[in-house]
Amino acid sequence: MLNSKVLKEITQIVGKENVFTAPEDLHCYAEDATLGVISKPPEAVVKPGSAEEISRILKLANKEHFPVVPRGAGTSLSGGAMPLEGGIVLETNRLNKILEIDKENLTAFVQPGVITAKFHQEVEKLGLFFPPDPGSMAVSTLGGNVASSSGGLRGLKYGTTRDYVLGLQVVMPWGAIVNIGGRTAKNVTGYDLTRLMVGSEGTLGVITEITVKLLPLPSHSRSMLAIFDQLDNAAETISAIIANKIIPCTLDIMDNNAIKAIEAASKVGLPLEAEAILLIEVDGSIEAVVEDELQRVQEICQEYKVREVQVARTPEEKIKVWQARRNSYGAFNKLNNTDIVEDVTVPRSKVPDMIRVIRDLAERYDLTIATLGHAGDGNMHPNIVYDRNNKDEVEQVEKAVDDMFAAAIKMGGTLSGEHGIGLTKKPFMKWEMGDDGIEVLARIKNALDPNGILNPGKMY
Amino acid sequence: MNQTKDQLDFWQAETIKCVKCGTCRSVCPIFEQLDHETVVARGKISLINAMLEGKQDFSPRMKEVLGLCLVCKRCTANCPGGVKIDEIVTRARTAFETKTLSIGKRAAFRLVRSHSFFNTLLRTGAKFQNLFFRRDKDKQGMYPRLPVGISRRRLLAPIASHSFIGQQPRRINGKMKVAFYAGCMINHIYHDIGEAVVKVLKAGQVDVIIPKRQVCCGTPLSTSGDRSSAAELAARNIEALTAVDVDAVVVACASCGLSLKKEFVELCSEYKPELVEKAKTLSEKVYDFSEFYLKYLTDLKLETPVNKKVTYHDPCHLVRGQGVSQEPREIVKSIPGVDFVEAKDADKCCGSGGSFSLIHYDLSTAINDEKIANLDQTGAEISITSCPACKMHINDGLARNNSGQQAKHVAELLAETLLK
Repeated sequence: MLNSKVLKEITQIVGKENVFTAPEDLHCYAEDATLGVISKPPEAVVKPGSAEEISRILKLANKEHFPVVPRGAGTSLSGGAMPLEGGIVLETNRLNKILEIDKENLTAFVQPGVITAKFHQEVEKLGLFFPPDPGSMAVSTLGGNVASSSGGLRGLKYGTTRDYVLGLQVVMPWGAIVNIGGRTAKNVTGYDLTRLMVGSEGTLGVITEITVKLLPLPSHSRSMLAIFDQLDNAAETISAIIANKIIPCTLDIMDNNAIKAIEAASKVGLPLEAEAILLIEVDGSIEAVVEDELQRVQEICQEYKVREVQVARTPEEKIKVWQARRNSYGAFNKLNNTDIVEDVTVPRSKVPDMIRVIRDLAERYDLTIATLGHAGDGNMHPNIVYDRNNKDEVEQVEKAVDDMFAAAIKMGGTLSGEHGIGLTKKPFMKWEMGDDGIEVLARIKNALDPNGILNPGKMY
Repeated sequence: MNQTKDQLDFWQAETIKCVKCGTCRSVCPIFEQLDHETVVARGKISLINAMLEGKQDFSPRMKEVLGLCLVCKRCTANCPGGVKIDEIVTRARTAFETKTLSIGKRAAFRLVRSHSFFNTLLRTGAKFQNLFFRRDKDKQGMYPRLPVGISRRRLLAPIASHSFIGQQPRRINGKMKVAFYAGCMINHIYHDIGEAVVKVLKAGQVDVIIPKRQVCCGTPLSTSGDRSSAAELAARNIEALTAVDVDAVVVACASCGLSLKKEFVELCSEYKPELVEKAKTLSEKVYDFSEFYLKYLTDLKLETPVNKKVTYHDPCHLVRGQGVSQEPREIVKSIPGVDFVEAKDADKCCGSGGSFSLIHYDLSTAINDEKIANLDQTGAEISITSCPACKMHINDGLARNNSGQQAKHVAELLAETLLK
């Protein structure tokens, strides 16, 4: 617990203006973007301005045994940034500088509070490319992205945040400031601590600096909508595109419920009666290759009885549709008061099976499920939309989620492709990792954070 | 909250639509400055929801948080869940209606309520304003002398010595007859905008009358939560503007336009149900100046070229409140000699927010500085806008930043291009 002496010490470290204890502030920092979970306010919100300040706070936390929950923009969908046991929420957004963009070595050094989309803009000005593009990138921070190894729409071709982090500066739970990994493309010195930290969800350290690798920005891209009357045809098209050795940078699917909700929210002209739409984007540095891929994708769609293919003619047309897709999370809440979005992921070839499973679950439990997903990489986003005040329905939702996770694991898939385990998927960890797997996690955690001060109660 | 149970249920359901996705963090000008969860829409909506569930007190911090909103509607326009954030926030302010407001603000609102007194006082104020305000060195505006709840560094435009609606343009036998709704800022401060509007309308063979019984549109009251007083003003305006036989009502202030077009109907449905139909009839006749010009006056000959680089700033209550953004741009582009250049984030709030800029001067200034930088970066010599409040706040910022640029209303630019 934070007594007044501890609070005073924290205040001395970061300054009065960076400590908030009013109930109103604590209320707001108790939540992130996760719905359907009861929040518990922290005892203080603290905004440090340097790695040194964070180090001093963590040392104090170890001495006084209070929990520290690191936070970026609070866009977690798994309760990752929600405090459970009081203590402090430690927001790293004051560390928000792009320190360097190194064109010669195709790397960049950034602080954790940099907004993902702003970083994209800066590197793209220089003809460079940082592919990870989580749905929340207009507000999410790179620190948050690294801590949860965020994915995005371009994961199929370009991978996720994990694939771009070369090195990190991390404040360890006991207060040491360490630099792990490096700035070179090759580096096998020591254990791969960088990979251990990426996706550690704030349980193993506080990230204070990030070194990422960059790619040359592809000069050409084309995108299209493929509209299907049959969901199965759309699902089979996904497999066929990959089987034909075409890797689009994005290959997303939305089912009829998703189409209706997105169209209602964004009015971009989606056909309301279509059973499924694929959003496809191909990109590359040679125009002829990109055009050829676009042509071949269209042919494959025709083969699988596409009703209509709409190729975006202008950048504005393209942006409009992608924006609508990105804003889908809020759109589903027009259907009911609560939306939980899962991110079960299965091997690509199982996407049609997983879509059928989700459809059957909606029927069996009488639920509204709107599915969209980065189908090309097997990452599905079923949005279960329900009334959180209806006890029976909440129960049905829980059953459906259980079945969904069980089915995904059985297909060789995973609980979470990109949102993280956090709080909401913690009960299912055993199904995927087994008791021994969980013990590995626990031993790592206990070795690094024996007092359990960092983001306690999360992940396993 | 001082509202009926049905209304409270409605607004509670509205707050629940927020999925906490945080998209508002990317568009809120205040969040951009303060980078704090509590002040962005997601935080405010969560707190208001707690207030409606009886879990949050009407605390001083709550009042402060609710005050930190420009009502620029950017969050609402960009909310994927379609939550009516600005309306929820202003209605939550109603809960504090009876609590103590700062002296300056409370006094200002009392005055607006009894409008005839306000007229007299402002006219007297014009004579004695040097007692209370000191002129800035360039004689462009004035700074408050006394700490009346208004920041003493705020540059305000001087109050005119008579009200605009006191004068009546000479009647002509025109092709149409319109009523000009001036609004407080044109009525008491920017007579030049009013005169420009009348000049352009008359040049287009439109007979203009300025109904004398028009009063404040009520925006300063409704946005600060005093919706019942705003409804009183709405009723008086509806009476004044429907009593005259005109083809259209022209407005040259973005917030007034929003009131006449939309807010009056809503205020009446809550407080004056008997006037709803009249409010609707009125709203159908209301045009922003630029809309009216493009619909009826494009045959006007714009003779004198304006050989200048010009940019445009979208007033929040015009672009998002009324969905009008292309019309003023088209007008500017149609003026001979004009080199139009688009500014970055042209639709972002200038930081004025009505009385917000009087109370939160530093915050308002920081938001305004960014606006000025974006306007300056265009290299334009004139920034055109469609709202007197934006004009005042942008000119304040231009002076503070020693910019050579000048902000004008689109009607003023048009009037300059007409032959004398």
